[in-house]
Amino acid sequence: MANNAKKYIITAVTLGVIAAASAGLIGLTNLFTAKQIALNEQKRIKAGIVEIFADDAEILEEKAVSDKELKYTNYEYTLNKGVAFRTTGSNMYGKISMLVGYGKGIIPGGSETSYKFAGIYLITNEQTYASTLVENYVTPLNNDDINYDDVKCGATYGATLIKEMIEETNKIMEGRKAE
Amino acid sequence: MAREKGYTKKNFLKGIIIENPLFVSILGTCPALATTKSIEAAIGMGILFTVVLVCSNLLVSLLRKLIPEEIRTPAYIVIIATFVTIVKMVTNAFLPELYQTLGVFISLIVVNCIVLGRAEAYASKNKVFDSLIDALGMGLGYTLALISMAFFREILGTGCFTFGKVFTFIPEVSLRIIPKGYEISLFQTPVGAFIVFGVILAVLAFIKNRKAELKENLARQERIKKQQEAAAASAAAKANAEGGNK
Repeated sequence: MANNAKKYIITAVTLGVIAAASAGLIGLTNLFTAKQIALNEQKRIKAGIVEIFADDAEILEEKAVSDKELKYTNYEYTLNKGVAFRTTGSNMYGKISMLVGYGKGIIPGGSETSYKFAGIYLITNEQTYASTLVENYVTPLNNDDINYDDVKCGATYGATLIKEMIEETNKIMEGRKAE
Repeated sequence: MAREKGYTKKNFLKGIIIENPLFVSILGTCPALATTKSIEAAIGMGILFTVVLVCSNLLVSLLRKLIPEEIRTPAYIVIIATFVTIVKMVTNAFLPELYQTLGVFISLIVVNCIVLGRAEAYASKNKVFDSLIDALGMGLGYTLALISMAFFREILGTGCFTFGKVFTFIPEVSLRIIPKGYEISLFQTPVGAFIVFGVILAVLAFIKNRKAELKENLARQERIKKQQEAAAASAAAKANAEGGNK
């Protein structure tokens, strides 16, 4: 009985020490890398905005979105060329973080001051079928070759996740008029 | 216990050729199929994999007498997962293009059976130095196997070798080998990966079988030669004996 108890204690302590040491190591690495990772992400956001809009696109304002109704949208960027949203979501195939852009422009039946969907840019694409998703869905969507609800592309679950994110930002943009 | 002469060299080389984790043991095939679209991505994956393998083998070997038998596997998984997380964070911070290219496959090193396999089969039973050499050999073997797959996939699928896209600290260079329009994009897809993997395995099996066949033929010829010599000697002895009788 006493032997068993000793064994259990040694086992628990060993696992605890290994787990604590692992947590410490990860924490230390995070301390050194977090700043650089945040910086890289900012660079990717700027690159994404340039790719969706144009070289002279600029972020005028950044604000966190904290509406409980919204499942994916985290940030809203007001730009000189329009509006962009940062959305993050995941499914069983991995995480996607992306920008959805809306440019100032004319839409059929609308006025010059309406917003229209301008494109998306993937900041993080950790889907298992990452390249299939980009080649068969994201690129054609940005080139206006397909509609965002044409999700059958060989990476249908990833495309469906993107579609849901776009639908959410579309809902936010509904009825908004550009200044 | 006396150590066999040249053990370290043998221990290092076994992972590259005789026990190559990808082409001989057929382990770690999932990332091999997914990350071999370009040589650069394959090199990146190989390096990250080797770093994780070396670190986990070292730690497992160091702690081999302290970890109780019952919790060996969970303890190894925690150690491997820690190093994978560290490698992932460092890659995300300092090699963001490689991080974007490899995506989820960096995290998936945790479940790569080569890493857990080496920890369980080798590092948990051997000294730190031997475990380090074993990990370096296996890591290099896996990296070379990934590069050889990527070589064929990139050249056949895109017609050119491109460097500097993933490792952005080197200038971007593109070397076209196959004229534009003649490349076969199938080789850039998972189907192409399976074809390349299958062909490489078939070629290696052919070479192995041919070697075994040649060895067997040589042994057979040697045996026949010995039998003939023995027969000739016994015939000569018989003739001598008969001559003596007459």
